[in-house]
Order: sequence, then C-alpha cells, then structure tokens
Amino acid sequence: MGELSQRRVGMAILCEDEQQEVFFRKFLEGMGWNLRQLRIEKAPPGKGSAKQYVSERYPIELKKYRSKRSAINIKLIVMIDGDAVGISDSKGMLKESCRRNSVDPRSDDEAVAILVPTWNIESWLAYLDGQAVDENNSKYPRLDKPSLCRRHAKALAEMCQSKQLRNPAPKSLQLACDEYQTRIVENN
Amino acid sequence: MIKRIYVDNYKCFVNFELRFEPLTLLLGRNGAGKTSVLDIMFALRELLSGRVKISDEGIFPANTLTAWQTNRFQTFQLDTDVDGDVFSYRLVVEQNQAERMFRIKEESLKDGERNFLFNCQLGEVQLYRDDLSPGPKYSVDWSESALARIPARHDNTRLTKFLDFMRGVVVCGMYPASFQAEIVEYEEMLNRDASNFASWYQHQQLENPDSIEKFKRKLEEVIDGFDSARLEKTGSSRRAFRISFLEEGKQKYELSLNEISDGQRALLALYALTELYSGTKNPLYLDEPENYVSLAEIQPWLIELYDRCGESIPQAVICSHHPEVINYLGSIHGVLLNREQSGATRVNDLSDVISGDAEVGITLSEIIARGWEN
Repeated sequence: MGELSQRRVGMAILCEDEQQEVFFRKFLEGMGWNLRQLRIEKAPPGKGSAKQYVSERYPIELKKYRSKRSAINIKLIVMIDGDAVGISDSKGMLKESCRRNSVDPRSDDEAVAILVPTWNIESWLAYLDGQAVDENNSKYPRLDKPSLCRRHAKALAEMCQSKQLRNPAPKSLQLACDEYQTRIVENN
Repeated sequence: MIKRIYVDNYKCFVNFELRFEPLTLLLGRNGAGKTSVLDIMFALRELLSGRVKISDEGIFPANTLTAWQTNRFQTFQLDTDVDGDVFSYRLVVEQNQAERMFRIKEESLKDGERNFLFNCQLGEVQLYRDDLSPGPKYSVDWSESALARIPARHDNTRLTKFLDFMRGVVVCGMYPASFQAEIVEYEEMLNRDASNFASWYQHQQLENPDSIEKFKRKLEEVIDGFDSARLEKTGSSRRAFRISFLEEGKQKYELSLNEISDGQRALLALYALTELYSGTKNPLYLDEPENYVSLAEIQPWLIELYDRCGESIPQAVICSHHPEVINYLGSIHGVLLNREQSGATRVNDLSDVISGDAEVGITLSEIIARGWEN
C-alpha cells in the first residue's frame, strides 16, 4: 500500500533508440523490476547521432548518479551499439567523453553497467530467436515493430535467471549479462 | 482499429487524409487540427450510436464547413479493420444554409472488397445481407444516420460488427474539475470530458470486476496513500465515489471524488483507461492526457499505454504538446499536422524533420519548440 506511489527512480536507462529501450525494459520486467522504478532517456532522432548522444550524455548521468547514490539506491544502465567499432572501442568512447568533461571514469564499485550489443541490438534479437550470430554481421533484420521483442526479452530473462546463456552466445551479450549481474544485481 | 480517415470541407481539412497505427501521436501547432480529428471521431461515434442528428452541436453543424470554401458538401470516410474484417464507411453531409436544409446526402458501408453492406442515397436505403444479396429498401429521416437504426439480425452480422466497433470508440479530453462524485445511473461510455467518470466506473465494476481489482492495485503504486475505492450508497438510487487513504502513522480517512486534487483525478482516469479498456476492442482517442499530471508520472503511464497498444488495447491516438510525450513517442509514432499557406491541414512526414544532419541530435520537443519542424 502506497510504498511506491511517491515515484523515485531507482534505475536510469540511457540508450540509443526505441528498440533498445523496449527490449531492455521488458528484460528488466522479467527480472522483477517495477516499471515505476525506471526512467528512460532515449537519444533524440537524427541520423548517426544516437551513439554520440549517449556518449555525450554519459558523463552527465554519471555525475548525477554519484551525487545521489549516498541518498538513494540507484543504478545507471547505458546501452550503446557496438557497430563496426566493437565493444572495447565503444566503451572507450564513453571513457573519453568522461575525460573531456573532467569526470572520473566509472569505478568497479559503482552500479553503472555499460551494455554494448554488437553489431547492434538486432544481433541479440537474432540470437534470442534461436539463431547462431556473427557479431561482425550488420545485416540482422529489424523487427516490424519494436514492441515485438517481448519474447526475446523473456528468453534472455529466463537464461539470466538460470545463469546460463545458450551456447554459442555472442560475446557482447555474455559481457552484458556479466555487467548486469555484477554491477546491478550484486551491487546493492 | 481505425486505419485511415479522409475528410473534405470540415474546418481546416480539405481533401485531407490521415493514416493511423496502433499507437499514433498527433503533433502540430495550435489550430493545426489535432483536436478536430478527435471531434470527427466523436461525432461519427455519436451519429452511429443513433443518439444525435447531423446538425446537432458537436456533430456536423453548418459552422464546421471550411470557412474559405463555397462547397456545401462535407465528406467523411473511415477505413477500419475489426478483428480482420475490413470496412469502409462513407458519409456525405449537405449543408444548405440558404434553404436551412442540413441532411445526409450519402451514407454507405462497404467491405474489404468494396461490396456494399449498406447504402443510403438521399434518404433511400438499400440494405445488403452478409452474403451480399440485396435486402430491404426503404425511406429514412436524412437528418440522422440510417445505418445507426439497423437492428442486429442473423443475416447482417458484419454490418453490426462495424456498428458495435464504432459505438465503442472512446474519445476523451479530461477535465478533472468536472468529475461528478455522485452517480445516478450506470453509464457505459465515458463522456468527452470524463465528467461521468464515477458513473462509468460503476458500469465497469459490474462488467469487469477482475479488471477493477487490477486497477485498484495499480492505484496503490500511483497515488500516495491510496488504499481503496468504493461506491457508497447515498440514496435509494444514488451512490458516491469514495477513495480511502491510509498513510503511515495516520488514521484511515475517506474523500469523495470531488475532494481529491485534479491531478489525482486525472491519474485515476488515466489508469482506469489503460486497465479497464485492456482486453476490449475499444480504440482510445485521447486529447492531451498528460494534463494535470505531475512530470514524474507521465512517462510511467505512457509506458503502460505503449505496452498495451496493438495488443490488449487495439489502438490509441493521442494529441499532445508535452515534451515528455513528444520525446518518448514522437520519433516513431508521431504524425505532424501542419497548416499550409492555403489554410488546409496536411500530414508532414516527421522523418523529414528527424533525419537531419545534426551531429548531436537535439530532442524532438526542442526541435518543435524552436519551430524547426516545418
């Protein structure tokens, strides 16, 4: 009764687009999160700008997270497509954005998870649809509607709950699951 | 769902066409026609419910003619898909102000293959059966919808299906200050301003008891201290909508619907729409649903609506100016209405606005706030 009614966001999600947002939100629902605890910030529209928006926004969100974490148990999730750049260089972009903005990079004890679907979120959706996936392949098709990813998110939630991805899993998804587990679930 | 509307010679709509998706956000400046789209849906619903005449206030009176046109005919066309059955409804209204004659010149319903299921020309009806064979012919009052008068029969189930669907279209631009706490009778349909929320809730309580319980559990998350809602008997045929609050360290207390805040009433109504219309076939046409609602509550409700659209709620069409709504829904679900130099409204493709060359994108709401969407 009334416990969550005064909405206070417990997790901010910074992501590139609607497909990433819906997929990850549905995954979190499957993992037991209440929607009212989430705040979504999607990159605004604009060809090629989504990755850059997330990158520019990241240090701001990181600073905000740090200013609030002593008062509230909050988490920050950042989702950015690997594209041709790949996982390390995408994370490097975020680190460099912090440096440019004089913000210390995230530390190991911070509940800040960086997820890098590679090539993009469609690669993960294809894997969760039962396909074997090549992360160097940019051609996995989009869903007709972003909202159709419900079953894909459910499949991932089930795999995460049993702590086992179907082999062979894309490396980016494996790393993302590890980030989620260590930085979000275990960091309480 | 309603897939397409065509309008000619109604307010700012001249030869105007608009396509809808399961979730559509209508954007545009003041006077672009966003609310007028909802006005038309409301008028068509009322007409097809058999409750009104063509010239009644809020339907298609003569003052809805496009001001700069001399044509006295207004045309409205709806293409719908109701559980896989495709229908095309056409209404032509004649506004003869000189002779003070306002009538329906043409009203027809066709199926997906363009076969007539109903045809009325100048007050002469030709009915068709489900198997497309001609049925009875007769004369009707051309000041109201003849289609609305057709009773359900075993051989006109398709026509009836269309009518039932249209009669269930919800059109709402909430005005919480008008919500009446007292209920005198059950009301199946929410008023345009939701002023009969309590009466409508009473109907839902009978029709949808399981959904009512889910709705109450949702309110516990959304409204501070919400404990329960009930309908209290206040007279032989009167009831009052009462909400009880239980906050930590305080005694339980009750308030009437008209004693809570406008924002709390708005939240009640918004979550009632998503919970109680879930699993029904009713499309929702909502005018600025975010009004009165605190900033923190807008995105959570939009997410609830988004997750249900196209599934448990067949369709939602929202008009909004609010940045939260625009930024959450606009880039994929937004449709921009724009008045051209001629005065007529056209649909602009938002992809022209958003496929820009900005190195770092600015939000869609900021683009619109700067007037850069055109």
